[in-house]
Amino acid sequence: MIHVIRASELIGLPVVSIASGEDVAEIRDVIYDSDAHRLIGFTLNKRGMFSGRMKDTLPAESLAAIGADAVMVADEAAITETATPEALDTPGAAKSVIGNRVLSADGNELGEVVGVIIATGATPAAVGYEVDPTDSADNVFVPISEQMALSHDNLLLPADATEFIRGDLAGFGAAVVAYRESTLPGGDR
Amino acid sequence: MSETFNSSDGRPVVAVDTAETLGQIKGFIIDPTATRIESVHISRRGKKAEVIPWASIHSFGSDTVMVELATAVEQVSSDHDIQTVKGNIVARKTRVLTTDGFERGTVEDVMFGTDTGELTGALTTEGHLDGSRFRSLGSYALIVDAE
Repeated sequence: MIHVIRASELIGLPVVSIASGEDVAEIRDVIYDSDAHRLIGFTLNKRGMFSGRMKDTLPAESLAAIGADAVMVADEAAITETATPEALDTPGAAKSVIGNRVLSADGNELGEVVGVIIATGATPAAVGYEVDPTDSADNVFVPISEQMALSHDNLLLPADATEFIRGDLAGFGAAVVAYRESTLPGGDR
Repeated sequence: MSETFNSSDGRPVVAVDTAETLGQIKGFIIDPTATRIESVHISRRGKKAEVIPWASIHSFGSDTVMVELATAVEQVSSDHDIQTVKGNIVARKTRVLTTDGFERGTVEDVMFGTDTGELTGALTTEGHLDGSRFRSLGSYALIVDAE
């Protein structure tokens, strides 16, 4: 079982050092690579009264864990400027997935991407998209796969992913696990 | 013997060599890894905040805390001590945060061994926490190992 959270809900969460118990920053925005369907990291704000944008960023590789109440790092070294990967410097260059139409492999339009879903825990990663369906009021959640093709306006959902679409975020964590197991006979990556 | 922070509040601290009352317990300075008491914060009327290193304590009695020498009283100097005395880093009323990023209530009291000053556990708004799970104490949270 994995726990999942909307990427947008991470904004404003404190970044806390396990070594010191101090809140060293807070999440300003989520940097996401739409082409690779991958969480790259976060831009940060300062904490407290003199809050404002920090130059330092937090790469996904430097995370200790993402929880419902805080983003955890081992220590303050996780957010040094030198740790910043190139992709974090140029977030504008990444093609945005938000607003894209989601098409099933057999040509049905499922809806429009409205958000990215992140798995929490010790190995945080992007695991799905929240989709606003064309023909229904309630949003659905589709699992991410490496086979997912993305153009500037369409996101193509592989046929084998269709059965793992869920209508509730709580049940989506289990669906992601089941989908991975179905595509990877022989166990975890 | 085991004691708690709450039950020690206000307890008189007396020097063995002069029989002088050095002050009353105001709080405790804990090391950054939240394993033991580094020093006892005492207050006395008309004085600035003072601390007594745990090593100088002769016996942590249930009525009075005895200190070997009256000269063991120190002024607060390190940044960590100043932050504690000012109330910025205090175990009590601090939120509990697990290493995987979930809040688990706030600390209401802390238990410690009177021989060693070692922290043995905490009482939180959500129940008892074993001291073996403590990772660090900062101004934001007491960090504990996830279950």
